[in-house]
Amino acid sequence: MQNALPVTTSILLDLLRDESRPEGWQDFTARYWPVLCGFALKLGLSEADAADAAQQTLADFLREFREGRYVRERGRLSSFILGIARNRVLRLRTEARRRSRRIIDQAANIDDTPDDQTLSIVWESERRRVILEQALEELRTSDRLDSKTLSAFELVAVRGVTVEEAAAQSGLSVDAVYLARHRCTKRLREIAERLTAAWDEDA
Amino acid sequence: MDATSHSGEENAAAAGISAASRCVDEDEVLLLAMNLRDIRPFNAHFSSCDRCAARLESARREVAEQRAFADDAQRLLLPRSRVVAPSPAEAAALDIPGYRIERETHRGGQGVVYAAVQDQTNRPVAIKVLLAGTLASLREQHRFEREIEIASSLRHPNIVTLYEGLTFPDGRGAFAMELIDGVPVDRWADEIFRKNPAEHRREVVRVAEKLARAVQYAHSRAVIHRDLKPGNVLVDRQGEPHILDFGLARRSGSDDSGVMRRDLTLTRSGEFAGTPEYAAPEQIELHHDEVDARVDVYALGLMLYRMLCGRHPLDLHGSLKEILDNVCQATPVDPSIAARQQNRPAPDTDLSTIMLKAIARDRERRYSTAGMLADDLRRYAAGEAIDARRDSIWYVLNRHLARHRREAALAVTVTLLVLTLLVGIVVSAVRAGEAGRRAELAQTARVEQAQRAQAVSLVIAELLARGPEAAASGPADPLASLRTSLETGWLSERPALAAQVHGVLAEIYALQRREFGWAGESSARHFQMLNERMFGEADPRTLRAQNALIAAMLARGRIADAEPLARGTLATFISVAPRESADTRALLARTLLLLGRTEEAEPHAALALSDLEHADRLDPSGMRTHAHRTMSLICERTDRPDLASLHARLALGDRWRVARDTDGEALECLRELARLSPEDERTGLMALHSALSGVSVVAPGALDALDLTRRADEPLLLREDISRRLLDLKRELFGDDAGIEIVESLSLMAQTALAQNLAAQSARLFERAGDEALSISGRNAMQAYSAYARAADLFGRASFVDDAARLGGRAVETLRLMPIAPAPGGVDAHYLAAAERLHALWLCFSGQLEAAEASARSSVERFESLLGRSGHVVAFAHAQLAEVLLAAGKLAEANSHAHLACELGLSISSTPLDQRSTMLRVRGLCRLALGQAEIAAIDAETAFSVLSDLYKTATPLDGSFADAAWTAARAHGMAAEQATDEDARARHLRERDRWRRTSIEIAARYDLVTRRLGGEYPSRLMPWNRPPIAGAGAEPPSQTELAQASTLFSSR
Repeated sequence: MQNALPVTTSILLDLLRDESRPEGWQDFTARYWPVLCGFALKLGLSEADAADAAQQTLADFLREFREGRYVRERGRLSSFILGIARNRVLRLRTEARRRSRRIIDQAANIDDTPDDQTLSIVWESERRRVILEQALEELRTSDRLDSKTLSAFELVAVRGVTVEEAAAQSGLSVDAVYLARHRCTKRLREIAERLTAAWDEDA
Repeated sequence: MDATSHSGEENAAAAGISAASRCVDEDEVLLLAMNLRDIRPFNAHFSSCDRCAARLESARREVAEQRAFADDAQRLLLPRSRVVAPSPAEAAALDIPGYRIERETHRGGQGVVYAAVQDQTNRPVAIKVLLAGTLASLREQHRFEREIEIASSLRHPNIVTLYEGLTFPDGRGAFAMELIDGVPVDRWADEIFRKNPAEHRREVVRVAEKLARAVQYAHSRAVIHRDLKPGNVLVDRQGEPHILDFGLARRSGSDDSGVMRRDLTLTRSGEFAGTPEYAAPEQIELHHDEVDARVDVYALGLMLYRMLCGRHPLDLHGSLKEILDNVCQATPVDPSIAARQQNRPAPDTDLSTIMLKAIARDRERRYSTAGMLADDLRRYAAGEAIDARRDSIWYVLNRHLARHRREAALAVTVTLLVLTLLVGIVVSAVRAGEAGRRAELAQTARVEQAQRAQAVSLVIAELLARGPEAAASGPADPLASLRTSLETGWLSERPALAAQVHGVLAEIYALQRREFGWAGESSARHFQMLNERMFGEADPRTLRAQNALIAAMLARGRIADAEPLARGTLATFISVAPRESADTRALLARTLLLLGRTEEAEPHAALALSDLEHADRLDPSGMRTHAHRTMSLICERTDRPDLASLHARLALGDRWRVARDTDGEALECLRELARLSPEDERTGLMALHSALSGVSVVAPGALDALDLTRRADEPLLLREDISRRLLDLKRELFGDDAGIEIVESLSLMAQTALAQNLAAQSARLFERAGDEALSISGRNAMQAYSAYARAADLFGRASFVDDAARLGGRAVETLRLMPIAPAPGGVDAHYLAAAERLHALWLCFSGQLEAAEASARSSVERFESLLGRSGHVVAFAHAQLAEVLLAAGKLAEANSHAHLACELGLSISSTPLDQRSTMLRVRGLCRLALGQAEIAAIDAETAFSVLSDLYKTATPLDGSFADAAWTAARAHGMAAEQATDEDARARHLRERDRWRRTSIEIAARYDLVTRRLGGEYPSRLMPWNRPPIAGAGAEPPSQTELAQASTLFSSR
């Protein structure tokens, strides 16, 4: 199966601008939803709250974008969204802690609001995680690699299994597992770079 | 030790001899680069072969570079936490504040469920804790997270309610949900059957409908469950079903990005996370892209079957692989047989049809939504005609005629005609040979025809004899008793007639009722056997019966068995009646195609088609349709898309001419054609498909005007005859409720037109949609508004400014019909203000200056009352009021509004660039009118450059570019007149000419775009024709100049 070309940020924004094209919103959500959820979860929100935070952030962004408050020339889209997400997540986090005596977290009352630099690091790492997951999924559906090679790669590179164990599990020789790891990593890296370029593209 | 290393060196040396002599292969190079091989034996080669040395060097670099990436990837992709769920003994000690754990109720692959009581409310709850440890893969975690996310977004009485998500200090997840005191739905159904068999069927249908509605609700929230099975559906003591476990569920529509695909049921070959017995074939066959809501429809059908018949419809014994193969390939056991095996009464035909439609292997044949399944179950329970059989002429006739026995005699005659057409008397025999032979053949054909007619009437009589009452308790197949009398009753003594009846049955089953494939094949086999007995092996009649048998076998999926039969039949036909062999050849082509032997299939298909093309104009036996479809698939597989789509068109045309209505086969053809069509046409075809699939049996001859083969280039939905017919059909079908349907159709057509770049036509359709929406009732005003607003915009784009103004007015009026928010159902006042602003613009362009002024003023007032005097929205409204006032010659007031707009708007970073440009240009125009030429030129040039920033290339999105450039030209022209020294004068004149040229060129392109949109020359939108007219500063372009600019652009 041929993988679709990654949607660049420009295309995404153009689609989003056109209210008659719901796919803009869908594509946009598909891209940022997992990043936002992961970001919120890392900052200690529950699943439900993380989903709320993601939803609110996306809705806020759409509103601001359509009102023309995001100007491409003034900064990366990603940073703009992080700004919105930061407020949403921190607010929900405070609320959740206040209302929930049920969250079993001894540290609930300590003010551990992360600083902006930490937030940026968390955000960036979530973004990279999502890109990598996307790349991994593309790798899985790629017809260039056979299933044994893939499964050996996943065991070693994703699940942290030793090469010998992976060889036993996947029925390949140890050498073949090393080769599989190398080739798949190379491919994964290429895909990830292509996707990153599409996300970062600033035409 | 020594010995080992010595022998190691020896080996290395020995290998070195051969290694030195040849180049190192790619795997070897990589292993060497990773230091997994002893390099010594290769040293000699590397020192002598530069190419291999370079390869090794590059591989080493690559390996080193990858290390950091691989570490990072592993860190990010590893599951977030690995924790172990408590054992039963730990459960008691499991401390969840606010809850008392009572007992462990279930321990599954994914987690443990405890029954608990919530302290505060005393409410019994179930708490599910994720089982982790070595088994908790990334996927398990995602499943769990997904379940919480999805289940908490669903609120439905038949879907288990999630109360709250819980978090443990170690990050482990759990959640509290509604505790259902019930049993799995299969056990529940068995118990009902045991205790109260008379109520069993009714109860099962009731529960199945509720489940289908609940699933439809989930689908409407874009959630596909993907793991529906009896174990995930509990029925409580009140007989209410509850769907649980959304661990494998997925949000539809979001998976295309690839992000959400990670949690598909199947991610790697051989690994199956769902429940194979209840998985749809496409889930097993790894067609990721094909997994949609219909997998749930499939599972619902299986559960219905299981509840009614007491067993699974497929034979599911053996290894996992065998089970998976069976799910993908086996034909479901006929429900009546399955039920009898379990000592249960057979479900009636309608119920069997519903089940078999829901579990069709080909998902295209299933209900496309769970809601449609629920609707059919409701209809069934109410004794109404079910939708699943809507496309069966037989069925509808049966239902209809059973109620009107008195008209039955007439109906039989009418139906005979239909049947004769559909079943197809083989008249091609008459064409054969010389005169004597022709007479003989004609005689044979007549006899055959008479017998066939008699057979047909028998079948109809059988259908008519069986009203809905009889069907309710009878065997699954309404024609089963006819088949019995063929084998053992009076018909068995009249082989010629019996053969024809078998033939008719075989064709009915093959054409209309593929679910009964086994019955079709059995009838066809009898037909063939009886003919063989009567006429011998090599008689065309026997051979034609063999064709029916081949078709029945193909319909049943018994393709490999069909091949030898097809080859044998074809060989015999060629020797005894070569002119009649086309049908068999077409069947052979189909068989070969289905076997994947495309190249072999093609010559047969081509030959068959060339014979069939010369036959009748109509294609009553459907064989030509079939041959075209085969050829279409062949061409598609061999990468000849144009031919594929041509054959698909021919197939559809054939089918439509014969059926004179849309039947199942015609819709299939349509769908295939849509699949093969280019993007822009596909929308129209699919719209037509969905419009027609709901209206299959009404209005015979509805589309007889349709001749796809001739006017292929035009999107169907835009064809006047088709669109009118579609709307009529909808009116006819939906009666009083037709309004919304018609609005939808019109909007669809409008969008199709827009996709074709027909802005004006699209606008007119939107206008009609708006009118229609308003005529329904007030509550559709919002829909009407949005249709009018789009119409106005599109008219504007096509430069029909009067129409744009008129529609803009309609949009405003429509909004004024509604109460203003926060009144219930009220409209947001911002909409109204924005609609007025736009309306003012179009009024101004169309020269209705007074009205424009009123509308612009109202917009400004409304915005200010909502937002105060701040923000770019208010600023922009002032700018547009200024433009209108300027056009009306009220310079002083215009000037003050323009300055206000700039003051408010330019200082805010959020002001969109196009609005910023308008503010600057309008201020420039005011300054120009006040004689401040130099400064006006700066405004106009800035306005232009702001737009250029927005659209990197000077895309003439609207006339704004041309406007800005023209203003600049005029300003420089005036500045030249005011200039005191020659240098300045010359400079301004140069600038004036440059800007003037720019404006004319952009306007020419704008004109071109407008024309492409089906519009007319946007004369009134041209900056030099716009008020305030002032030749002042720059001369309007001459016709020659315009023509030159136009040529320039068309040539580009």
